[in-house]
Amino acid sequence: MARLTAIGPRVHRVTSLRRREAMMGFLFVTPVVLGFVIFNIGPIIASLVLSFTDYNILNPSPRWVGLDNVRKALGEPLFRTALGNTLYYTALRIPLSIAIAFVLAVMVKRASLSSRFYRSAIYLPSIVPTVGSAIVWVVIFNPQYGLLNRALGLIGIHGPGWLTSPVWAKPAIILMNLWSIGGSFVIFLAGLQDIPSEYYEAACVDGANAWNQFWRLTVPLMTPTILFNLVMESIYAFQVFEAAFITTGGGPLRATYFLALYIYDNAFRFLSMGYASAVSWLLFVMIMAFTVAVLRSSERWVFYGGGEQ
Amino acid sequence: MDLARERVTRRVLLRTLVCTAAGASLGACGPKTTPQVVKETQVVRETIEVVKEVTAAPAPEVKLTLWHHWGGTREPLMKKALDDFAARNQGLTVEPTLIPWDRKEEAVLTAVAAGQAPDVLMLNAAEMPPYALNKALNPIDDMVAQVGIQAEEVYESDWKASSYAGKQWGLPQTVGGAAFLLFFNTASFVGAGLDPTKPPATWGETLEAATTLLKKEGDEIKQLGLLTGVTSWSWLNFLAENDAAWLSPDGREVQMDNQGAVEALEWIVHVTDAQGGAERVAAFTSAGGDADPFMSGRAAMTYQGVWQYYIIKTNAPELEYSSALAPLNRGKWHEANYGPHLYTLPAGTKHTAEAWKLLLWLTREAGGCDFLTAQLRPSPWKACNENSPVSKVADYWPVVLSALDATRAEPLTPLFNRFASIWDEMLEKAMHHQSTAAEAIKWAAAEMSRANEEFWAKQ
Repeated sequence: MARLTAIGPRVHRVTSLRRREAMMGFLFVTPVVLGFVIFNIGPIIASLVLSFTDYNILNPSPRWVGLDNVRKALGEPLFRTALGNTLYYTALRIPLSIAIAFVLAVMVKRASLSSRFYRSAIYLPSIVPTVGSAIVWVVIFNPQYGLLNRALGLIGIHGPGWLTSPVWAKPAIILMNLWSIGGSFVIFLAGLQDIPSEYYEAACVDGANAWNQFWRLTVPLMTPTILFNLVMESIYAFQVFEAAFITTGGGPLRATYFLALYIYDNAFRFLSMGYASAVSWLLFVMIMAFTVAVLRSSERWVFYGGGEQ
Repeated sequence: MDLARERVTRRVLLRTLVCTAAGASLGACGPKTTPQVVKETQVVRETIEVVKEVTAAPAPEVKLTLWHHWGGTREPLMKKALDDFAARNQGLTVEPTLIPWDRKEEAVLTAVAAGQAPDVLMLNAAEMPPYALNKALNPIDDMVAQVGIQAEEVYESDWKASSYAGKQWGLPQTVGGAAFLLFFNTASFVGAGLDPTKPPATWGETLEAATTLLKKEGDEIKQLGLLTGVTSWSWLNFLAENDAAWLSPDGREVQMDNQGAVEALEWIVHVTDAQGGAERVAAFTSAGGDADPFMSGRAAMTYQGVWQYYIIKTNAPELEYSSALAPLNRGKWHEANYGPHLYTLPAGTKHTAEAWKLLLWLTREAGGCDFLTAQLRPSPWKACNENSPVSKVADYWPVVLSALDATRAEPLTPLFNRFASIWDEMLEKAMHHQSTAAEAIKWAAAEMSRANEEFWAKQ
């Protein structure tokens, strides 16, 4: 009883303190939560409702059409072209960006002396606004006086039209966007720095060379980071928009007409906001399906350490 | 005083901050008043009469909002026009917002949909019909009649472009004509043995001149003969030059599947192929400034609008060039008027009378005229051009005035952006030889008809 009397007020004080801290915590997160609900959740729900309507943004009375928008999209040749372009872009962009960011991170970690410079140099392009960088890339890709074709010319290669060629425009956009892999690179670098050096020392003692260390130690230990970057990169890749919007407008011959451009055109240029909402949800379903598939597959190839896979 | 008790806790601090912010916000939302100090006798407690200076309820100042697209070197000119307006209209000020041209749709549409449109909105005539059809603009017929504006005051094609569905929705600030003139480098003409006083007047002569002016070194194009810069928007000019139709006057029937349209597209393909093909020619993009192919001497001829004179004067004052009406094939119109820039009054404006004053100032009155004169370009209002000081200093003035009279008024349609997207694809199909000109025209006309029928069926 005496013990209880002694502890009682302390417990009360702790509970009161916790409650006050919780209140302060809620107070500080409230703006973010409110902003998310009003500016993200609200429009998401609104777009879901609008996707079942024929809604022209200038006319405030949407007309219910059920699944007509989805049916229309699936039968529309231009939707299929945009979908094909988006899948092509995603299929090439994801492995390339992951591989390049990973290799660069490994190289920068090894070159520890100058890594601060390289870290900055590789990350910097990812914070340059796409509008600015896209204009620079237009000049670089210019078949007539662009740097890239001039450089190729020095080694005897006649460069293509890049952004003006229906065949090369998509690879050009991929190349352009690979310039901003800084985000993935930094995450890989952080992941690499988390690998204890004792593992490598032990591998050295066991006689593993650099190649074996990379494939049997670095890569398996980095699989959780690879998974994270894979998911993030796929979300970005499916939504590719700005580079094509600025440099090609979707051309030539619709070669760079991606789904996000198709959505934009329908929403704002053709005033079919209901249809654009439906296509947005189709895109969301695709991204979600891809993400779920990747996460499911991760059970087989992601190594979380401690014998748990 | 017990300072320990009086210390400011986080809660008190937050509460104070929130109250201060709320007070400041409410204060900022209050109406701005023009201070007019008057003396007022006020009875105070204990019946002591004091004379006190107080701020009386004045006429509230009206701040008009204006959205426009005049960036770059035109922004200070626009600012001057608005400052002049404010100086002449006591109590009226204008808050301009520059809307970038390439993102205008999303900015304007979302604002209109949210009921947050400005008092005065700059809108290209080609893009006006959906706004008119959906009652997002106020018709101005009554105000036009009240002021006594006559159709004859404006070039015919510009006047027609400001009306849709029997009502007038805005007044033009710029001309929609003289937007497709042939600019040519006179030094290049002389160098190639061509007479700069006799620029090409027909499609045949233009093709010949383009081939003559083309300079190549091996596979590299050093100078393009003619930069057609053909896009969806300029496509209508080629139709006008060949007297080809594309849409019925009421906009309900697509008429583009015709021989004139096929010939126009064939000619574009010929000119492009004669200079190295679509991929090579597309490398000569009009990037403006030093990168502009015509201003930097990398294209000997180009189609450009009347705005180009000022741009050349600003960016390449040493360029030796001249201009002429766009060459014809078998039409009588040298170009198509697919859209002067209009000033409109969006629905829901709180200050209609004041906004109308600003609209008039930026179009019919001195504000619009001075703004264009400073850019060495004509106004759609004939009176401004007749007395324009530019006419005395600009040798191109007769060409510009002729072009304004030789511009075909085009039918307006709420589907212009959709059609433009179809034309882009059509042009690329033909220029990249994915289909013949005839096939591309047939495909485009069918797509346009499909979109048109679908749209009107829902109205």
